[in-house]
Amino acid sequence: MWANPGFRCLPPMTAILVALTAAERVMAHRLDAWVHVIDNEIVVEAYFNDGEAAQNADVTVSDSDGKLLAKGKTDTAGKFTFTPARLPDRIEIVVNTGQGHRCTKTMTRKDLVALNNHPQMSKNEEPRASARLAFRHPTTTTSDAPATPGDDELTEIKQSLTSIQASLRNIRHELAKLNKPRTGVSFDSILAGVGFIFGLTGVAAYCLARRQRPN
Amino acid sequence: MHIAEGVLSPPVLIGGAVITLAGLAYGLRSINADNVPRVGVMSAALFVASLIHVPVGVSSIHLLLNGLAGLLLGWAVFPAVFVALLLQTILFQFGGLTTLGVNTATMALPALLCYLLFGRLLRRQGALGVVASFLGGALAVALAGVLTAAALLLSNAEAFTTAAAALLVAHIPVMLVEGVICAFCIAFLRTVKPRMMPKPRNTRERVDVG
Repeated sequence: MWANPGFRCLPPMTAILVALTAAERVMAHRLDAWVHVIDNEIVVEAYFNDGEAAQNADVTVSDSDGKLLAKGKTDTAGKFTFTPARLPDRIEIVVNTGQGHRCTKTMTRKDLVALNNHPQMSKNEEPRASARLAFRHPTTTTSDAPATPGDDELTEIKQSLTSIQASLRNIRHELAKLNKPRTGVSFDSILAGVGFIFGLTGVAAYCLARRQRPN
Repeated sequence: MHIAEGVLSPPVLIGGAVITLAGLAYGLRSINADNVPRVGVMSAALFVASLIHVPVGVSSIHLLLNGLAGLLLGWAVFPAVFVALLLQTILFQFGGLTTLGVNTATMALPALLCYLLFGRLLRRQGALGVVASFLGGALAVALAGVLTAAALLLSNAEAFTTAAAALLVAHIPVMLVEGVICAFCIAFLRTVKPRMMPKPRNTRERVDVG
């Protein structure tokens, strides 16, 4: 059957089809990181674009002048958690797994606004969300002077904050899920790439054919 | 190989780019009307091969297929690898545009070497041909790993020593897998389409010019 010319194009075609079907299931790797703030700590989650956690990767955090703020390695879940000693306007987080995989995330103070209990934040900044929540409490209304809420109210506020943080955490997980297809490899772009290559081949063949045409 | 932006030092990047440009210039000249579809198909295969990944320990490794491409294409492996990596960079953000030269060189140089070493043996029937194609596939991956490790070490020897070692170890299974794939593909093509086998060294492929 192999003598039949129709079967000659079979091996490359089969190879491509097998590769394509396999490609839909698994992805090659590109490193990405997701930075968020939970309970006054900055959490860096490093992962490959197939969703696998980047374990034991080096993480360095520095300010815009390149001064080191924190340094460490990701754990088995790809997470690295830190509380910076000071909070500059802009921090740069670099994750490096070695083996040529590296990614950089830049966070501004605005991005890290949830870090509202950080001493530097409360000193220099306007009252943050949590503080405003306390001011709006019925017992501390119109008066301009900041009134101190009672112990009961404080625990109440703390409880509501915890529940808000918990629901925020869920929302963040949903967001991460939504973001994933964008960072990953889509079937469309694989087809696009293969199409490009065949297009280039066509152009090359055309040029060669023109050159060979007898005068 | 997909070394990302900002990892390598400028001299390594420039070195890789120069090697790749030279390889591209020579490789493009070796493309003629006979092998242009072959270059296209292999380039497409290289492009998708990186998406097939093999989980190894904490890292993930993907197929390279550079050995197979090298054995079938010879010098034309440079343009094939370059196009595949360029599209992977643009479409998937694997690697980077500045590291394209280094990445192309680390994949195409071993492929070319395997072609020069084993290319002539592929036409042989029996064990010799099979062993040659297995070695071609495996050695190309091994050397690609070595060159990538070397690129990392040349850029920053202190930071990348363990990473380079891990990279080499992680490529051992890929080496074996690719050796087997390469042996199968070559054996198949030898039976089905012997014309695809590299020509003996003394009768060089005719380059059609003008």
